[in-house]
Amino acid sequence: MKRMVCLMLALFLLAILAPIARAETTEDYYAEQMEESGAADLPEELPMETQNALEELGIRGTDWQALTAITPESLFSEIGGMAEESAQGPLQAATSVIAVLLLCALCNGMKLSLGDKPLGGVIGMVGALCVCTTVVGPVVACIEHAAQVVQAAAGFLLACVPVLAGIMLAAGQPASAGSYNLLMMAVGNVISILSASILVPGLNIYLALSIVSAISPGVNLGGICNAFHKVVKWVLGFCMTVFAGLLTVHSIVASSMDETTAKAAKFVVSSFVPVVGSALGDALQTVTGCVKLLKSGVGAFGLLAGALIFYPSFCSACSGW
Amino acid sequence: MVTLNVCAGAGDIFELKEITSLLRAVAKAVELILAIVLCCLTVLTVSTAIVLLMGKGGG
Repeated sequence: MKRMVCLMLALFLLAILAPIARAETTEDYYAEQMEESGAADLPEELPMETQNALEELGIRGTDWQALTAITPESLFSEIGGMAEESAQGPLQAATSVIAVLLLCALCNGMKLSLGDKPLGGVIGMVGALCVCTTVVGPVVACIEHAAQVVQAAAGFLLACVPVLAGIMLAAGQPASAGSYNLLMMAVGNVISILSASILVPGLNIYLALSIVSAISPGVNLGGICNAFHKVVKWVLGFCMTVFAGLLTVHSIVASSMDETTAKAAKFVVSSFVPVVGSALGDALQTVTGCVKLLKSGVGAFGLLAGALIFYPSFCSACSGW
Repeated sequence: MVTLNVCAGAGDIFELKEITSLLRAVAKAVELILAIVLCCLTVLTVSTAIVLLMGKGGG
């Protein structure tokens, strides 16, 4: 009877304390891995605007619990707030443009004349110049902001790739880590250099040519502008297709290699270690699973941070300018 | 882009050719900015999604 009571007490304590001990161990292990892999420092690589947006969503790091706690309500509220903030400037400028349009329409309707010539042509030109002064400033600022955003995203990519590659290496995916690291570091560097050296001057020149072509049809630059527009779109589409294709091919081959390596490692441990080989093989898989949890957390954080880096610029270009 | 196209539409209504063509030209430049931003966003998203999917092969 005494033994039965002791056994029942032991089982009761085990049932109560085991989940607590397990939860603490998992969280501690996750936090330790996050510190050692460098994932804990990733939020500091983001622009201040994005860090604030993430903090308002309740995310202060790559913690998987915070990432799974995001609600649609908080996300839509944050997105709505950012959209409202981005749309204020363009809407104010739009009222000025509409005022100029109404004035020009009024002057055209009055059929005024300057000497022998009608005033319509002069009013149209003056109106176009007024609109030009209203619109060009915000658009140039938008181009500069877009370039800064692209550069910030490339910087975050360059900080995130080595961390993710290290985690993949620890999770037993050396081939995938190698190909991913190589490709993404190259892409990050190319984007960073292009955005710094070509994006702002190229788009400013295109804007200037477009405005000159629109205001004075005598200077026929419409063909050049259309050609530039088409070429940029085709080049972007081509680069995206090549990049996605290359990354997919690499991932297919590398993931098969990693799978074979992981299975071979488990087989070696299970077969050649006496007595505890099977348990060690299972432990190996458990450790790999824990590291993959960290990888999922870092990846999800990267996706969310990337979306929030680009969202203000996207919103400003799409809704207003 | 939306605001510029709306203003260009208003210019069309009042038959103001210079202003309308100017607004459409600026809208095209903004369209290019949007295309570049979306391209970079897609690169970041696709690469991260593929990395997350690669996890299936590790064991």
